[in-house]
Parts: sequence; C-alpha cells; structure tokens
Amino acid sequence: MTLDDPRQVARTGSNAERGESNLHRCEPAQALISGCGTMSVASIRDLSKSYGSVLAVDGLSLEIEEGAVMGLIGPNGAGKTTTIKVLLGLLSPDSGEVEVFGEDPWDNPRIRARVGTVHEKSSFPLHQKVLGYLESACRIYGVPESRAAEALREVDLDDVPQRRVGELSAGMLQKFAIAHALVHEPEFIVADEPTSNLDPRGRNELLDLIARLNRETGATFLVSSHILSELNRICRSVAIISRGRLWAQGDVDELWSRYGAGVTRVSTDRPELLADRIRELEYVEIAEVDSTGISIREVAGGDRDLYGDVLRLAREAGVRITGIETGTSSLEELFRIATGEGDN
Amino acid sequence: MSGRPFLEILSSVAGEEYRFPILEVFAALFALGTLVLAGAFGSTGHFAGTEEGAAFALVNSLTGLPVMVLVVLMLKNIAYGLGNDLESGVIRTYLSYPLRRSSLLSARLVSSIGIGLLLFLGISLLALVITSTETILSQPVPVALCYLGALCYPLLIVALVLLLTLVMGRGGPTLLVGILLYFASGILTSLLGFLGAALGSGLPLRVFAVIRPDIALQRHYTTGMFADDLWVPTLAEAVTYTALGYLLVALVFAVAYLYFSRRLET
Repeated sequence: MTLDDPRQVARTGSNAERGESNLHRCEPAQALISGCGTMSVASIRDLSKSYGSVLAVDGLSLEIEEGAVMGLIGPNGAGKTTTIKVLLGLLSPDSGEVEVFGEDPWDNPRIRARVGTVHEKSSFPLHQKVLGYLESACRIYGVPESRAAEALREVDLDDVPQRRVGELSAGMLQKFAIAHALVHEPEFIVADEPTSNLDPRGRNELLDLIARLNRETGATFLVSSHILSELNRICRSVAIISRGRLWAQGDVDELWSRYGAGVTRVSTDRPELLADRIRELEYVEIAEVDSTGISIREVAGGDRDLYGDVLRLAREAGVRITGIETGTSSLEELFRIATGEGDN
Repeated sequence: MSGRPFLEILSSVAGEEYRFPILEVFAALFALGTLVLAGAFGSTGHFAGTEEGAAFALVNSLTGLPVMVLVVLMLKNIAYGLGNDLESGVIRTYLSYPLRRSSLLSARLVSSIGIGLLLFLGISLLALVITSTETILSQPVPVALCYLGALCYPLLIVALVLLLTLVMGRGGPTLLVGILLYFASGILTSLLGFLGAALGSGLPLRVFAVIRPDIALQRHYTTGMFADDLWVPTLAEAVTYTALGYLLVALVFAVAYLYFSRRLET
C-alpha cells in the first residue's frame, strides 16, 4: 500500500475491518447520529448556536468515531467552523450537548491535552522561533521537548527550526500548525479548512500527511473543507452540513451507493419547467434544479424507463435536452443530492 | 507528566511584549535624571509643611513621569498586545492548551501589568531610596499611600481598557480610549476644582476622588499647597477613598475575568 492513494489507505482502518455500516440520511430537522456500537471520541447532540439573529448551527447532531478520518463538508457559511469551535470549547452552545472524550469541552480544558487543533487561520506569536515555540508547547503539554523536533520532521519542516514563525510562508505556517497540533501526540485532531492557504501541491502533501498519520498513529481526524474533492481523497466517512443542519452522515462509499447510484443528471435550457414535469413521475423521489440542470433520484425497485420518460416530457414541454447521464463520481454530486445545493 | 501552561504562556507573552523595552529604558533614564537632580539640589525638596507632607510631596514628584510611562506601557500591552492577539487568533491558539481561561488571562495580565508594575516600583523606589532613605524609613505610611494613590486611577483605566478590548475583540480604538481617559482626568480635576470653588463646595472633588483617590491623599497631606480649603479630608477619609478606588478597580477586573472565562468566544 502506498501513500499515492491516501483514501485507500484510510479506508482500510478499523470500521472497514469490522465491516460496519455507518450510513444515515438525516432529515435536517431531526438529524440522526450513527450508533453502530463503535467508540466515539466526540459527539454533538441537537447543537444550536446563533450569532445575534443569525442562526449558524440549527439542531445539529454528529458522532465522530475513534480511528476515523471524518470529513465535515459544506459550503462556506454552512456552520462547519462554528461546529468545530463548539467541539473545541471555544464557543459555548446556545443549546444541545457536546462531549469530547465524554466531557464538556467548554468546562473541561484538561481534555485539550488529548486534542490537537489546526484552525482555519492558524496564528502563533510571530517573533518566536519555530523549534523554540514547539518546545514551549511540549512544556505546556508536559511531553518531552524532543517531541518538538520529531513533530517538525513529521511535517517535513525540520529544515527551518531556527526561523521565526512570522517568516514562514503560508504553506509552511500551515505545516507548522499541523506540527503544533501533533506535538503532544493527541488522540483526536480537529482541522478546520487545513488546506485553505495552500497551493495544489501543498494541499496534496497535507492530505497525504493526514492519511499517513491516521494510518500510523491511529489518531482520529475531523477535517472540514468546502472543497469536496479534497475530502474525497482521505475521508472514510463524511458529515454533510448545510445552513447549519446535518443532512447526511456515514461511510463515503455507502453514501455514494445510497445517493450516488441511480442519480440521473439532465442538462437542459429550461430546468425549472422540466423538473416540475419530472416530479410528477411517481417513481421519482427527488428532482433538484441547479445551475447546470436537474439531478433526479428514483425510488428503489420497479421497472421503469426514466430516460424515455424524460425525453417524452421534454418533447411535450418544448424543452431542449443537451445531455443525460446516469451515476455520479464525486462528493460534489453527493453533496448536491443530499442537500439540494451546489458546492460553492 | 504534567505540563506548566501558565508559566509557558507567561514567558511567551512577556517575550513578545518586552522585546523592545523602549518605554522601560525611558523610565529608567528619568529615574537616573532624578538622581542627578537630587544630587545637585538636595534630596528632600522644599516643601514647607509637615514631615509627612514633605515625604508625600517628594514621592509624588518622583512618581509623576514613571506613572505616565507605566500607564502607556500597560495600555500598549493590553490594548495593542492583547487586542492584536484576539484579532489575529493567537488567543485561540492559547485556548487550545489544557489551561483554564482564568489562568490564561492571569498569565497574560502578569506579563502585561505585573511586570510593568514591578519595573515601575523598582525604578521609582530605587530613586527614592538613593535620594531619600531617611524619608522612607521615617515616613513609611505617606510613602506607601502615595504609591497606592498614584497607581489606583491608572489601574482603573487599564481594567476598563481590558474589558473594552475583550468585548470589542480588538485593541486599536481601546488604546485611544485609555490614553484619553488618562489625560482627561487631569483636566477634569482642574475643572472640578474650579466648579467646587464657584459653588463653594468640595462635593465635586469628593465624588471624583472615588476613582482618583490620589486627590484625597494630596488634599490630606499637602493641604497647604492648595489655594482653596474646599475639602481637607482626614487620613481616615483619604484611606477610605483609596480603598473605594481599589474596590472599583477590583470590580472591573472581576467583570473582565468573568467575561473572558464565560462569555468570550473566539
């Protein structure tokens, strides 16, 4: 097994070995959590959080299982960062329950000794030296100072130990943030948009690193991103959130087979009109319109001819069809189907 | 193995805040200048009142500029330093450590205020000891009260600026507020003195002395220096005003701690 396929690496972990099924389609108002008997490092139940009159998270429930690389996906403003901050004890929830290692993170700072954090915009005292600051972090956590150099080696940053933090490039700073999150060898690492400041090469390296660390240390990762194809590479399971609500959570492959298979994409010049007609077909469960066409999902079972029906309806409505394709190949599609939104 | 987050964060913050000790050097130069002047003109000054009054006036004259430097230093550390850390997310990084929020704020304040206070006391007491050892030994009460009175209002400003910085999540505007509050108090004291004289009442000064107890102490110890006798508090009154002033300071700091511990969201 090589690091060239981190997703493959990640998917050989504990859940797959146990053959467990962790698939849930969540109605926004009553999001379900996966409860398949696996150990969870963190759980959120019915979390709501507002900023003034803006409801950022609305009754969200989430379970993060031990040993997983879990993706938290959703567009900007979906509530990912708020969810993560509540999980880290940086924000207090308006309502709901949050537990990390069985304790409330807002009231129990000691659990942070078991958690590593990579913030969306990592920030450190700029005038301190790279190695010196990590050694200081080692003393904070009570781990041997030698871990600082090891953590720098783990992220391939061992050639700049005497450089000041403020002199690091955006990519190096992000790697430094990862090293900082790893220095105390945490069991649970939360990374909020960790690739946001990186170029494509840096992104790939970082994703490979997360997959490798998950494989080598068994640490649990929660990684958020609005770039779905990134999480596609490394995540074994994902939670799809939008507008502060959980729409689906589960194993990526199973989510694909559940929502991806049987999805037909219709490209047309008048999607709204055609979608209205398609929704009248009794075997159609969802016909969602977006900027490029219509995504159609059929109810399971039965003998039907969607292709023929769509062509017929288009002809009757005087709508021009420019393409029909079946199946899906990415989390973008999964996201769109699950939430009825496009990835921004 | 248990860590030592408090000391490490204190060390980290102090390293950032005192990298370029320009203000501290300025205060030390002032103290040096005071020593030179004291050598040239004699140490106890020319105050013609009681011995207690003379001691108070001497200490008051030695603390004037260092207090101003201290105020600027503390405001810089709180409004600029803490404000920047809040804005940039460094505080968020500190909050990811296994440390209580109150301990984190304490580490921050020990550096931002505590070290500044130690520098101030070190510089001004050194100047005082060298120039007037006998005065300190013979009049410890007015010396101590003068220091307490001089520091009360600056600490109140710092506490208010701290609270404001935490609530706003940034420090630029609050630095300005702090500096304005400091300089406005001198003008306000004069205006209230005029108002009191016009009304023939010491009430305006009494009210203001709650936040600036040094006014009460000055009027008690150096009453001969004032043209009016609007208000001459007894020692007990002056001490009570000082205690009230520090109670107010403690209250504002307590609110800031409470806000940081329970409300601050980064």
